[in-house]
Amino acid sequence: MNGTWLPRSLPRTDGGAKADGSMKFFSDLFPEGCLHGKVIRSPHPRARIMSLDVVRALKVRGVECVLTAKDVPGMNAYGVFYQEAPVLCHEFVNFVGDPVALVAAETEEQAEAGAEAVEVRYEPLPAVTSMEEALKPGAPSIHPKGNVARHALLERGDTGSALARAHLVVKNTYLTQRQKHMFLEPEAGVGYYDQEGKLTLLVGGQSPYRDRLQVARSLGIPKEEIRVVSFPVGGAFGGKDDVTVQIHLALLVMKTKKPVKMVWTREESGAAGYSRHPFKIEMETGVNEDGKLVANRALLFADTGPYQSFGPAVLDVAMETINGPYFVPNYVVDAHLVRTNNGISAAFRGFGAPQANFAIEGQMNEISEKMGMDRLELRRLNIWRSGEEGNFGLRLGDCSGLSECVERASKSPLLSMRGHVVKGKPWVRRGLGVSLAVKGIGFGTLPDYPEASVEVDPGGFVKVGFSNPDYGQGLLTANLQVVAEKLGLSPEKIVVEDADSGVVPDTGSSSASRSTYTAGGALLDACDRALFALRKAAASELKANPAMLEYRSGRFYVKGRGGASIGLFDVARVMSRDGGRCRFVGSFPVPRHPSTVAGSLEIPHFIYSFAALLGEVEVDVLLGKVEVKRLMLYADVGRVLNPTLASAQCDGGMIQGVGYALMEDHIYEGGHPKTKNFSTYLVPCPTDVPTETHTEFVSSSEGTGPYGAKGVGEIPIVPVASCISDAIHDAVGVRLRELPMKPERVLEALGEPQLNLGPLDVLGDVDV
Amino acid sequence: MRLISVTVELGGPYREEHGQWHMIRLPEGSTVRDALRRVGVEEELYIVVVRNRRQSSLGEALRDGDNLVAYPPVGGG
Repeated sequence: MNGTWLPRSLPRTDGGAKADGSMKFFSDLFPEGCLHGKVIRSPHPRARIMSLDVVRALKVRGVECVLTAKDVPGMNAYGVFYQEAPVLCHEFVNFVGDPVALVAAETEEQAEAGAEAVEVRYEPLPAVTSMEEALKPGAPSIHPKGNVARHALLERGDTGSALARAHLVVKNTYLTQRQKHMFLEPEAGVGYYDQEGKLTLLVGGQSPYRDRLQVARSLGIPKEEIRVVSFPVGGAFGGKDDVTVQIHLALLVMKTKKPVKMVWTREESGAAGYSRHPFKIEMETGVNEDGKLVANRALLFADTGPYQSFGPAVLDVAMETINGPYFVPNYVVDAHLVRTNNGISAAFRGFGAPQANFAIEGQMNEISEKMGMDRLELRRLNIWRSGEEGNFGLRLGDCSGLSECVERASKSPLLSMRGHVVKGKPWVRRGLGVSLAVKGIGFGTLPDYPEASVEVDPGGFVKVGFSNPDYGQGLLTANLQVVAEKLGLSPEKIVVEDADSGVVPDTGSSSASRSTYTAGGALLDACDRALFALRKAAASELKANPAMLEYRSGRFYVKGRGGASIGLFDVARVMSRDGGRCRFVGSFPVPRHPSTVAGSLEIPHFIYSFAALLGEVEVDVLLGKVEVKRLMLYADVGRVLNPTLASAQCDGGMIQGVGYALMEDHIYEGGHPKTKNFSTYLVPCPTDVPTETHTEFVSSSEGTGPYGAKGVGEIPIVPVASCISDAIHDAVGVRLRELPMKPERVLEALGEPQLNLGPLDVLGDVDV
Repeated sequence: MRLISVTVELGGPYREEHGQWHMIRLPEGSTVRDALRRVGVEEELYIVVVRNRRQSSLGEALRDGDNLVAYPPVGGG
């Protein structure tokens, strides 16, 4: 069903100010008299703090305070799941970047000088710098409960027997790397006491209400005394889902009673910021003669660093998606969240799904090769089907979008590509890759009750409030369109309020592809509540029965009574006569399965997004360089509300996926980060971006979503690495199972390329 | 003293620690806090409480037949 404002490619509400540079991010703010905060961080991956002397630092000109663990008034710990990361380290440090002390000074330079003058004496301790080391008997224990933070086991059927009887078993090990978010604005914020004495934090985060609770808990102050504002945010991708500068800022403001600004340097972000979990996945997959999957055994290890942050849930998503969108009657998923003294791994777009996808889709492609089956046909045989039993024993919901993704991909013009030789470039081979992807929307079986508000202002506009920050996704605009459609108003009459815990209701975090789904759902409820109340007031004004009123495009009409009507804002004016506000808070109990799969935290999800990806690459067999020429994504994200923004999300996700596949790698050596800056950490530049990225959204409408929407934030990144790996294989005949697939790895896999590739036909029949 | 019946669902780590579903009876006038303590949840800060599908506060008085859901705002993906 098409509406007036949905689907429609309205320009982003925040686009102009971001494009012309007039939008002030928090790192652009300089409140009058503000101090500058700096963090003194551990240079060691693991050490005991022998002494910490701040006397010299306090004498540095301009330094207002130097704070250590003893100055932390609360529980001195934070963490979304488990409160184990210290606000400031007391006795031990557990990674390079662990915070030890804080300095606030009048200028940034003075703060830096003060930080340098803090004297910390460490006794370095043996560090655990890899998962292999962490799991060795007798390894130094990072946590009193050992180095395995979480072990989870999911089982179904008799995997051993099924593998023994299988027609073909493919067994491989997949390694994925640590990826950094590399948002343009590093972790930053400003804190101060407002005129009412409220501790106010303007911080680029993903969940202002949860951040508020984390600050309150760690510092022992009532949450009502804290206000967190999380818009605008200069990029996040999951890297600002857990707290970054919030608690330190709050502590400095509390101690100095002055405004404080803190902006991490890029290097600081590289060491102390979060990363995507590196995974090691061993997988054994069996099929029968027809190509039907019969069993999958997966052994997963994820490096979470010293503190868990989102690690437990990341492991869950990897476990949930490790079988892909395929029915597998017998499986064992044995997963371990491993502590090391490397930096903290946490949330990152896809949240464990890209890692799992790299493994299962690698298996599928190898199976299709060995079975001599078409890659999409193998998938068509095994994908989830609506109404059938799923891997977790529940009847599956609507999966028709998944089938449609496969069908659309099978008709793609990319599949007509023939030959591997690029005319005029005998050293370059061309290949086509295939993969599918699945990603849950929201928090699975974890309870989720987002709220949002709609306020009809007598001044002639509607204020819309929700707390999921827009850090680039476009959800401000999409949700504005939801309200415009529901209220029949022009978008110009709708204003979206900032993600501010002091102003808007708690909608939860911007994460898990949930923001438009959840905020949109709560906004629709708020609109219903608004229209219900306004209808009653309108009926009173029009001296009619409320049931006789019809609402259209901003006016209530009395049915059958000529032109008798009253405008929405006129009703609001009447309702506000006594000074009240026409503000309505709606809620959206996110649908979920009533029970959780044993051994998991949140499995299964209630709804999923799906995708099929085709990718064309060219591999330079002399240099090992892989160029991604075209990526064609067929995606089921529910109903698309704003086609341009949804396509842009997919473009961004695919390009970030190219970085993950080919170059991005946050390297740790001996527990020390080696790639803290853009000079050493490679991200896709314009020349690395595929010549063409194209997304086709399949027809889909999620019954529980706002106007049929599901979520689009994560699915486009999930299949990219596996697809490119398959395309490389198609081009040059080698399968890479370690990310990133950088030139040296490609060359190593190729060995002597000419020997592997046969004659290089310069007269190949492929046009370029 | 009149008793009221309240259902409590715990989510996330609370579910793992104290079980998911609880049907309890409390004296009339009891609050959300009383109900949560009854099922073993002492946390008062890092918690989201939902009463009859709307976010609630710990001090709210309960009514017979209320449904509570309580969970730390952990989030997943």
